[in-house]
Amino acid sequence: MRILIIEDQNLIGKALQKGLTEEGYAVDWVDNLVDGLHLSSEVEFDTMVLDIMLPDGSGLDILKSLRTLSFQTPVIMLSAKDTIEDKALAYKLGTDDYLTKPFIFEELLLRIRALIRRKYQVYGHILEIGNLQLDLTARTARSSHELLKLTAKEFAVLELFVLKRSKILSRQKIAEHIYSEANQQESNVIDVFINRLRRKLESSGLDTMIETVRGEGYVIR
Amino acid sequence: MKNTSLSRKLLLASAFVFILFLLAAILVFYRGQTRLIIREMDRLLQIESLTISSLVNTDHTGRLDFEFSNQFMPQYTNAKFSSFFRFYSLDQIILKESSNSPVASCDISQPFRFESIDGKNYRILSYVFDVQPEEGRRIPPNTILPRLCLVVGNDEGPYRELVSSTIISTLPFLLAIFAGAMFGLQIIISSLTRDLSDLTQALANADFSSTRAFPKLPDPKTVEVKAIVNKLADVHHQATHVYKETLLFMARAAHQLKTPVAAIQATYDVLVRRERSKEELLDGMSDVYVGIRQMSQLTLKLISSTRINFESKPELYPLDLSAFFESQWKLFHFQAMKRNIVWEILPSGNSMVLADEYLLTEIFSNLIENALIYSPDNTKIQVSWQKTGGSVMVSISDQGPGFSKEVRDHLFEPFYRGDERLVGGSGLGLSIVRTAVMSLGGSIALTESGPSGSTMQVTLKAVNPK
Repeated sequence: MRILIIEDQNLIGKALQKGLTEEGYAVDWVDNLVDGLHLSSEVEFDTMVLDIMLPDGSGLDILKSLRTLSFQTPVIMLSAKDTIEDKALAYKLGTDDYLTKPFIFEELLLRIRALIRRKYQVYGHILEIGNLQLDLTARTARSSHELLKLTAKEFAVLELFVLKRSKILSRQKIAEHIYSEANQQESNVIDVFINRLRRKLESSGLDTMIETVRGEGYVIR
Repeated sequence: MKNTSLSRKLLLASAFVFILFLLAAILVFYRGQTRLIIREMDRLLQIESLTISSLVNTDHTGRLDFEFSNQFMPQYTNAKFSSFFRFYSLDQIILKESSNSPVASCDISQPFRFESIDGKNYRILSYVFDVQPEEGRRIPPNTILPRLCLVVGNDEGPYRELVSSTIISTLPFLLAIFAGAMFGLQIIISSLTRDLSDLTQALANADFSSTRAFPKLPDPKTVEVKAIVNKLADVHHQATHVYKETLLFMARAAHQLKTPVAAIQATYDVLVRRERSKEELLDGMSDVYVGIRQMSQLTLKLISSTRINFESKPELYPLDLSAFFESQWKLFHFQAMKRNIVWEILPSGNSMVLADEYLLTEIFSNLIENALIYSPDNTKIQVSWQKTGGSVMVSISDQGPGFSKEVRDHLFEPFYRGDERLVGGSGLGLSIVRTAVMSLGGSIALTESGPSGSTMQVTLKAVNPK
């Protein structure tokens, strides 16, 4: 899952990037409006965390232009502005959620997960496919009640396959999904990554679950 | 009288004046009447004396003959006004007198007089006349006619009583007039003071809590009351303004504190989510420390700002600017050296100002800090001063990018965040500077702001105003 943070406060941006990355998200963090606009039009993010007061303008401007261009990316505003007027304006311009600073990281995380679930139209937190169970909140995968030992990134890829079930995902799409802009990888790295994931699923007999589509990518049917 | 309403006071005062006026009128009336009575009594006495004296004549030998009928005496004595008469010869021998005559002497030197005899006040006329012979009677020539003194007196008591009874009989009318006048006055006074009493009433019911709009007050027609209403509106407006400014200041201060708090919390939350290596812990702690330092800097600024605003008028004493700036610069020296920013005091002559060291430090430490924030590396900050008349103008110039027009307009407002790119500090520095400058009786202005740099000019009091 790819998350964009637009936050000019150094410490907050750094902490969010670290915390969300550790939760298995691919996190891009920019500290100004121009870079934020640029990046959000280049990459499809699963969620954007948006500060309002930025050095070169208002985060609401990004929100406005995204919605004008019909971008559906879920947005959560993260701002010190806490009046009902501020919130009303943000919701009017198309935000999906609003969290005021200071905030508890856990709450932000829960809200981001909820936004992503909504984006993929999943209404519970458990996804099932065959005898594979994904718990989107606990970020765990089970097969016949046996816990699979997956890294956060591996879980993220599995989650993407399940969420976009029956859709062929290109290597680039997968790379975009799990690596932030700063860590983008060659497509053969994705092949290595998928092979490792298959090996981990092997013990549960799920290794054939991820199919290779020649010349296009991978799919779970 | 202390807690009486204005209309009541006016009414009492007018009643007092009215009563004085009535008393004066009664007095004048009484005196006038008395005078009239005396004149009337004198006229009566003259008539009486002529009548009585005409009853005396002489026979052909020149002997005196008193022709009083037997009825006359008692009639006279029983007269309504107790009257008497006495005839004296010129050698003061009583020749004839009415039966009720008191001992009243003949006093030629004073024809009319008052005399109190036997507890009664008499108006007395001493009338000297030559007795004429009986009518139709001839007397020998060269006969010396006898000269007599007739003393006639009337008791003035009944006259006085008349005056008093006149006055007493008019008293009910006077009281009626008084009551009518008071009633009229009350109406006039209450109409004159209506504006004021309406205002008082409205004020008693008005809600002046500062968060509300100015209450609707009556529109008075009296100029003075209108002035009061206008002034009240003015005071309310200012109080509301100050209250709102204070609320805004507090809200902004809280808002400013949120950012470092959020940073500390986010860093901490992420740090404690899992087991950390020593390096990670140290890195996180140093981030937390940065957040805490931002908070403590902001808190210190808030304290300065509050302290400066509450400080009473400081006592000013002579301070040497050269020495002051030399010691000030030492605090920024290291910071400036790292960025190769040069500090320059231009030769400026006499450097004594009347100031307070704490306030002067607040002013220039903030200005120097700002100049450093906005100065690009490898530039210089210049300070100079010039004495003109009673003031010394101190200029601090940097070679920074200058401020936009919008920022310039709000430069000295607390927490003004117009152009975020330029805000490096708490947003309180320049508002503290302005307050401090004003406490020193000076002024501050941004005299230059362009791409080649900005100049802040602070005007302070000179030591010898010449």
